[in-house]
Amino acid sequence: MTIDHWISLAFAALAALSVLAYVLMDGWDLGVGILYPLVARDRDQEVMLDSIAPFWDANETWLVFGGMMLLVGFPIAYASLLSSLYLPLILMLVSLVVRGISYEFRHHGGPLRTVWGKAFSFGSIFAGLAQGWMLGLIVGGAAADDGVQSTGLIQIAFSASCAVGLVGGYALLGCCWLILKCDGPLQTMGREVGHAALILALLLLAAACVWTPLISPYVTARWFSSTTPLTLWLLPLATLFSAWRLWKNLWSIDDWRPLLWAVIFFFGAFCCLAASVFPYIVPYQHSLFDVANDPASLRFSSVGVLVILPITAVYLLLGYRVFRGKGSAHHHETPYRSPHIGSRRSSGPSDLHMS
Amino acid sequence: MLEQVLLSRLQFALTVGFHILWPAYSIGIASFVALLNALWFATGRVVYQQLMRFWLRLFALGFAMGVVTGVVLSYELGGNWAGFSRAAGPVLGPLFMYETLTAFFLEAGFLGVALLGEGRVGPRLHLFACTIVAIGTMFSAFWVLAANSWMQTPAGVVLGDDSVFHVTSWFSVVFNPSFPYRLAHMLCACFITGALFVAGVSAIQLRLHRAAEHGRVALSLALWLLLFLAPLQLVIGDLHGLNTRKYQPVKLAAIEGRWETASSVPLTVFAIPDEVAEKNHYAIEVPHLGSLVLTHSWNGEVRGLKEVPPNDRPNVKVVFFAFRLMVGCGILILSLAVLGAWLRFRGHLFYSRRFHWALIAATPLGWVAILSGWVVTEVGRQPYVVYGLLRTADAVSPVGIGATAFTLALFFLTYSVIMAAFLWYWITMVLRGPTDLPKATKISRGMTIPTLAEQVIDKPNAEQSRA
Repeated sequence: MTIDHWISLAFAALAALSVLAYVLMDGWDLGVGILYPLVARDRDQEVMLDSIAPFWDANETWLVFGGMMLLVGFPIAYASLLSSLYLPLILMLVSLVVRGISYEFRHHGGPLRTVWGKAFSFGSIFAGLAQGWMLGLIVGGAAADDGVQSTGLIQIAFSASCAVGLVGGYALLGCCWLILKCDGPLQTMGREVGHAALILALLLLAAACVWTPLISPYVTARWFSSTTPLTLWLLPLATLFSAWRLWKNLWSIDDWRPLLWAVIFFFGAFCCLAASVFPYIVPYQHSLFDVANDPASLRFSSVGVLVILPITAVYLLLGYRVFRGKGSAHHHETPYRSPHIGSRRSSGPSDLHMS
Repeated sequence: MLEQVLLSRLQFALTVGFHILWPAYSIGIASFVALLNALWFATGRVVYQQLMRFWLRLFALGFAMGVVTGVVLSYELGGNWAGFSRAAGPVLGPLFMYETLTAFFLEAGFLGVALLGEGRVGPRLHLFACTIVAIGTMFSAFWVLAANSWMQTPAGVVLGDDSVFHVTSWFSVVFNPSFPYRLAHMLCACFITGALFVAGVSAIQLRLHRAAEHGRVALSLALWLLLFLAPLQLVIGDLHGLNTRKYQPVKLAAIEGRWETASSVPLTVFAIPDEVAEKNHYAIEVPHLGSLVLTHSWNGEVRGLKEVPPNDRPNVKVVFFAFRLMVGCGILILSLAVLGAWLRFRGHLFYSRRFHWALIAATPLGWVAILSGWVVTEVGRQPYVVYGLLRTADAVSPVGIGATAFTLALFFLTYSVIMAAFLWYWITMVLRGPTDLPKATKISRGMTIPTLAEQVIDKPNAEQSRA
C-alpha cells in the first residue's frame, strides 16, 4: 500500500468516526425526543429537555462535520450517495429542522407549548426513521447510481427493519442519558424503558442480519466464506457481549455504566457494519481507494484534522464537564432515590405515569 | 432537464436565502452581546448586565434558526448538486471542513456556556465564552465567503480532463480576487443589520416607556455604530463594484442595464430592461455618472451585455432590480444614521417619536438589503455555477422533477411556519423587555423572591435618583 492509500484509509476512518460521533451524541438527544411522549408530567418533560439544552447544537454539528469529511475525503461518494438517497435525506433534514427549532420554541412557552413538544418528539422519531431507512438502502446497494433506487419488497423490509431498529437504538441511548443526567421517576423510566428499547434494537438488528444474505451477497461472502478469518467474528461477539453487559447494568448503582455500555454496543455494531461493506464507501460500486480526493486536498485538510480537531474535542468535553451532574425539578425538595436502586426489579412504588 | 435545473435552483435559493438571514443576524448580535458583557465587566453597571441577558436571549433564538437551517445546506449540496460536488469537491470540501472545525464547533461548544453558564462559571469565563461565540460567527463568514468568492472568481485551480477542479495553490483559492471585497462587504452588512435590530428594539423600549434606561444605552451604541458603518459600506461597495467590473463584466453590465459597450456611459437610475429587444424602456439616466462611479473617470469604458451571446447572460431584470433595491436600502440606512446624529446633536434623540417609529419600521432593512445583494451576486453569476468554467445545468443532480417539486414545497411550508413562530416569540420577548427576568431565585416551587438587582431594575428611577 502506498502512502496515498493510507491517507485515503485514514480519511475514511475519520469520516466513519465522525458519523459515529454524531450517531452517539445526537443519539441521546434524539432518544430524549423519542422518549418524550412516554412522559406525561410537564415538570418531568421540562427536566428531560433541560438535560440536553447546553449540548444539542454541538451534537448536531457532528452531522455537518461527518458530511463535510465525506465531501473532503470522497467527493464522488458524497455526490452519488446523497443524490441517490435524495428523498429520505431531505425528509431527515426537514425533521431535524422541525425538531431543533421546536425544542427552542417550546422553551418560550405560550399557547402552543404542547404542540412544540409534540413536534420535537415527532421530528426526532422521523429523523431516526429516515436515517435508518437510508442505512438500509446503503447496505442494500441501492445508493449506487444517481437517482436510481431499487424498490424490491425485500429491500423495503430490510430498510424498514433498519429504520425501526435505529429508532430503538436511539431510544436506548436516550434512556442511558436520562439514567446519567436525571434522578427520581425519570431515571426509573430510563431504566425500565431501556430494557424494552434494547430488546427492540436487538430484535431488529437480528432481523436485518437474517435478511442480509437476501439483500447483499457481498456481505454474506464477507462473513460466511471459507476465507473469512475467525478473528473477524470477535466483532459481533463483542457487540453481543456489550449488549448483555448493558442489560445487566441498566439498574447499576453507578449511573454512568449504562451509557458506557450503550456506547460500546453502538461502537461494536458500527464496526460490524463497516467490516461488512469494507472497502466500499458507496456499497458495491465505489471502493474508498478508487474515489479518494486529490492528494493536495487531503494533505491541506489533514492539517486541520490533526491540529484543530483535538482542540475541538477538548473544549467540547470541557463543556460536558461544566454542565455535569443531574438536572432535576426536585432540586429544592428532599433528594429522591429509588429504593430499588441496584436491583433489576422495578416492582417498587413509583410515581411514574406512562401515557 | 430545464425544469430540474430551475426547481433545484429555486429550492437552493429558498434554503440558502432563508439561512443567510440568521448568520447575518447572529454575527452582529453576538458581537453586541460580547460588547455589553465587556462593558458590564468593566463598569459593573447593572444596565449592561440586564441588556446582555436580554440580547443573549434574542440572540439564542436566531442562532438556533441558523443552526437548524444550516445543517440542511451541508447535505443539500450533494443531494441537489451532485455534478457540482463532484467537480468542485476537491476545492470546496476542505474549505467547508475548516468552517465546521473552526467556526461551527467553536460557536456550539461555547454557546452553552454563554447562554446557561452564568452562575456555573465565573464572569471572566462567561465573558470569554461570549467573545468566542462572536469570533466563531466571523470565522464562519470567512470560510463560507472564501468558498462563494471562489465560485465567482475561481483561482488557484486547473480544470482536469476528468472535468474536476484540481487545486494548485490553496492561498490563491482562499484569497481569490473577489474574496477580500466580498468578505468586507458582507461583514459590514451583518454589523449594520445587527445595529438596525438593536436600534429598532431600543426604539420600541423607548416608545413603551419601559426599560427606558436600557433603550437609551442600546440606541446610543447602535446609532454610533451605524454612523460609522453606513458610509464605510458605501466605500466598500464601490470597491467591490470595481472588482466586479474587472472579473465579472457581464454581471456588472446586467447590474447597470448596459447593452452596448461604450465610453462615458450614463448612470441608469431606473429602467425596464427588455431582454428580447436588448434595450431599456423608460430609462432615467444621469449623463457621465455611470463612467464616474464604475471607472472613477469621466469617460471610462463600460462593457455591455451584447459582448456575450444571450445564453451566456444572467437574467437581466432580476439582477437590475435587486441591485436597485439593495442600494435603496443602503441610502435609507445612511439617511437614518445621519438623521440620528443630527438629533443627538440637538439633544432630541431619545424624545423624537417620529424618529423612533422610523427606526422600528427600519428594523428588518438590513435583511432586505442583504437578500437583494445576494440575489444580485448569485443570479448575476448565472448561467455558471463556477463562473466561466462550470455551467449550472451541468451541476444539477437528476433526482426527478416530482421529487424536487415535493421537497421544495415541503421546505417552503416548514420555513414559513417556523418563520411565523420565530417572529411571534421574538416580538413577544422584545415587548416583554430586558427587565423581565426569567431566572428568579427559586425559594420553593411556585414562589419567587426577586433579588436585590431585580428590585433596583424594577424601579427604573432608582438608579437615576441616586445619580
